[in-house]
Amino acid sequence: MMKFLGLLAILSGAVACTGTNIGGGGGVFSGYDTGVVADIAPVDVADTQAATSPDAADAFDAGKVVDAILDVVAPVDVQVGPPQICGNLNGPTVPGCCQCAAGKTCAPNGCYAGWYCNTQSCKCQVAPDPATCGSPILDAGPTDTGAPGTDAIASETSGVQSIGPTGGTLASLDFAIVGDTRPPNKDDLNGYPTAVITQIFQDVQAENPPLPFIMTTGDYQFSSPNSNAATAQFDLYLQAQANYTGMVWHSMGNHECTGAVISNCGTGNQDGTPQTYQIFMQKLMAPLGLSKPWYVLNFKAADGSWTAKFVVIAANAWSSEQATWLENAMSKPTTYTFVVRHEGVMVTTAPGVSPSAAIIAKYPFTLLLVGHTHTFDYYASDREVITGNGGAPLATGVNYGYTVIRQRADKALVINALDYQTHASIQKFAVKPDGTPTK
Amino acid sequence: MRLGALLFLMTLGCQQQPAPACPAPVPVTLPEREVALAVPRAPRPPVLAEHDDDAIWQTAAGTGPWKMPQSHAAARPYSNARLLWDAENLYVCLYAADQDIEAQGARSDAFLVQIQAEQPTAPILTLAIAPTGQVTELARLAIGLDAKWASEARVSMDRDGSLNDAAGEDDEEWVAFVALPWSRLGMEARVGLRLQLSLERCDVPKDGVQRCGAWHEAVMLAEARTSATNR
Repeated sequence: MMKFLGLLAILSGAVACTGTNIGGGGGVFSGYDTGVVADIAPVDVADTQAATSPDAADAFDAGKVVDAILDVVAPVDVQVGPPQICGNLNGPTVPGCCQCAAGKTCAPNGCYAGWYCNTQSCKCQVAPDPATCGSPILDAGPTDTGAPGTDAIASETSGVQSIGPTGGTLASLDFAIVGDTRPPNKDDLNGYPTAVITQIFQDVQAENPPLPFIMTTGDYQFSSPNSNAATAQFDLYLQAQANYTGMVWHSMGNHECTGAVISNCGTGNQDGTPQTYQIFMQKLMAPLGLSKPWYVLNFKAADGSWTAKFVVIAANAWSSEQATWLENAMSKPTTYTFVVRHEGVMVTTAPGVSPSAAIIAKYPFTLLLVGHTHTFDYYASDREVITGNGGAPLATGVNYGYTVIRQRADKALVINALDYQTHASIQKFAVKPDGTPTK
Repeated sequence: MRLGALLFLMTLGCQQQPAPACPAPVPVTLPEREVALAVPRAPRPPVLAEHDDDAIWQTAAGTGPWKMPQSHAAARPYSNARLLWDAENLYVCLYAADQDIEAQGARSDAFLVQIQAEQPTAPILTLAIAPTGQVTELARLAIGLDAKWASEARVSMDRDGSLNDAAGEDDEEWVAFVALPWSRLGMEARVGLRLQLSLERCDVPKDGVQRCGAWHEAVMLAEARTSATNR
C-alpha cells in the first residue's frame, strides 16, 4: 500500500520530472507527468609433461608413460616449463603447424608429452631451455618424455633454480591470477571478450619483475554443453593466452560443465561428460598433462626458506574420489597453501563447494583463490580472493583486470588487483603465510 | 511489492531530471530519420522456456553493452539486450549480470522497458520486469496515464544464482526472455516499422552502491538474417 501511494505521489508530481518522449530527451527515462491514475495492472597432454615425475622419468616408452599418467587417480605433479613461445618454437598451448602422430592425443601445437612445435620445420622437439628464451626465473628442470614418432629419454637441465615433477623452485613466489572470461550470452562467439583477455595477458606479460606463471579461476567460454561450440571460444582464449610466455594453469568453472552452478561433471556424476567438459579437458587440461580437473602444484624456494602448494579443486566435478584426493593434498604441510576453486565461499549451490570447504577448514591455508563472481574482491574473514573480472560481464563497479601476488622479503604476500586499462590498483593488501592480514 | 521495482526505477528516472515541476505532456517531436538498430524477423518464434536460451537468439540484433546514463561509459553492472520480431510479437531478451539477484525490498532488481511508436501522440508503454518474471506496466498517453493497459507479455526467466537468499550467496546473472504482442503495443508489425525503445536497469551490488545502465535508440524492423548476432 505504501508503495502504491508512493507511486501516486510520483505520478502526481511530488517528484519533479520532465515529461518528454522517450527518444527525444537524451535522458534515460523522461519521467512521468500528472495524469489520471487508475489501477495498475500487474501481470503477473596430452599427454603430458607430468610424465616427468621420478617414476616416469625412468620410463623409456613415452606412450606408456602417457597412458600411465592418464590412468592415475589424480595427477599430482605438474612441471613449470619454459615460455610457451620461444623463438620459432611453440609450446603445447600455442597452436602450431605440427601434425599429431596417429593414435596420440596432442596439444594445440600438434605435439604431445609437452614437446614444442618448431614452426619452421613443423616437427616436434623437446622443450627448449628457458635460458635461451629469456625466461628470467624458471628453467625447465626435468623435461620431456617423448614426441611424435620418437621414443625419448627424459633428460635434466641444470640450474640453480629448477622446477621438477615433485616441486618447483622459484626465486620468489610471484604469480598472477586471471579469471572468468566468457561472453554474456550462450554461444555468442562475436561477443567473446577477446580484446579484454588479450590485454590482460599482455599486461601480465609486461609485469616487472616478470611473473613466472598464471593461475586461472575458470569459466573460459559460454557454450551449449552438448555442442562443440566451445571449441571456438577456447581457441580464442588460447590465442589471447599466447601473449603471455610463462606457464598458465587452469581450473574448472561451472561453464566447463553444463553452465549451471549446480552442475556436476565427470564420469559417474549426474551431468557426465558434456562437450564443454570434454573440450575443456582437451584444450586446457591435457596440454598440462592433466587427466582430471583437480590437481596440486608444489613449489619451493631456491634458498629453502619456504614451500608452497596450490591445491586446485573442481567443484563442478565433485566426487568422493576428489574428496579423498583433497584430504590427502591438504594434509601435506607447506609454508604457503593456496586453494584454487572456481566458486567462492558464498556459492554453496555448486556441488563441491560445501564438501571441499569442510575439508579445507581442517587444514591451514594462506588464501582461497576463486572466481565466478565477475569482479575483484577480498574477504579477509574467509581468506578469499575473488578474481573473476577477466572479461566476463561485470557484476559490480570494478573494471576488468587481474591480480598479482608477490612475495616480500619478510615472506608476507602482497596481493594487488589491477585495472587492465589504467593499470591502477583496484585493491592492494598483504597477508602473512598463514593468511592473516598484515601491513 | 509488484510495484516496487517500477516505483524504484521511476523515482530514479525522475532524479536524473532536475526540472522543477512536471509539465503537461509534450507532443512528441520526432527526430530526423536517424540510424536505427535493424531488428531481424525471427525465422521462427523463440522458445520461451525456463532455463533455456533458444539458439534462435543468435540471429537477433544486439544492443551491445549498455552505457551509464550520465557518463556514457560502459555500464557496471553489465547489461545487454537482443531483439527479434515476427507478425505476432516483439521479442526481447534482457541480460543482467548481477551479484545479488533480488526481487524484494529496497534492492529489488528489474528491467525497465519503454516502447513508443514514432508517431507524435503515441503512448509510452512501460514495463518493469523483475527477476521473478513478474511484469508491472502502464501506458502514458498524451492526456495522462492508462494504468489499465496490459501488455499481455509472456516472460520466461533464466537465473544463475539464488533469488532473495538471506545468506547473501554470490549470484552470476539473470536473463528475461520476453514476448510482447504487437496487438497490445498498438502496432502492426511490418518491415520498416520504426519505434523508440528505451531499456534501463539499476542494480545495487554487495558494495551497496547503486549503478544504472541504459540503452535507448530507434529500432526498425527488418527481414530475417542468417548471420550471427551483431553487437
